[in-house]
Amino acid sequence: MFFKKKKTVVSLVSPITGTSVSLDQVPDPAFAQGFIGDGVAINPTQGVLVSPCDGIVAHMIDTYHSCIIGHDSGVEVLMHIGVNTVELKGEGFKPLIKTGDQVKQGQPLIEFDMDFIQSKGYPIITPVIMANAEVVENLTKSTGEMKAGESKVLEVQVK
Amino acid sequence: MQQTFTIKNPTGVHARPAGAILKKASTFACKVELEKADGTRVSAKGMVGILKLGLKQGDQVTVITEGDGEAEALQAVGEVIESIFE
Repeated sequence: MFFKKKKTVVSLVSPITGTSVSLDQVPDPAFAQGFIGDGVAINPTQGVLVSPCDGIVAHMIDTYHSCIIGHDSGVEVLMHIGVNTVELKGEGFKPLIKTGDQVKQGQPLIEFDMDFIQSKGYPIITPVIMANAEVVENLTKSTGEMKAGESKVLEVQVK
Repeated sequence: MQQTFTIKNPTGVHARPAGAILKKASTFACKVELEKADGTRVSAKGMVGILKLGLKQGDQVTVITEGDGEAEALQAVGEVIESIFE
């Protein structure tokens, strides 16, 4: 008889259409060194951020460049559109949801104007990371071409 | 133990400063909590909680520590809170 508890595995789809790369490609040491959390970064080719899983909006930052989606398992995914984009004070970003909302995998969360953000001199590479490392047993990352709401980008084994 | 600190970072406590606070708080075994002037209290060891406070430049936040290393934690987390990140 085996009484070993089956591990919960949460699959996260890419929140953006583009190319998934290693976090060390992000020109911000706090993200590149995994200081904030482990994950990947997406180089977007389309300006829409969608939810990587079913869950609840744990936090939408008031300058709309970043949000956290919480999954029932306790996994929390932080997505941060661009680097230093907090300085845009919301310009170029259109939130479609608010903190506390229930969301479905693939549901659009934020629209962002890639040309505008880049014209202001900010990179648009978007880190997608684990906001609460303490529930993560193991994280499997995928790189390469991603389609928002469809391609699996991260697989989280929950503690 | 507790002490009140003031946010000095011009863009407030967004993802990066919140990550820095979380990282520092997580290095201590003791309980580390943050309390805003309106009474909202969260753990400093969770990203969502820290961001939920929505701390802006000039806001005051009280760090509350309890347990092993509480004095060191209070000082270390307070230093991060008063840091300028840009």
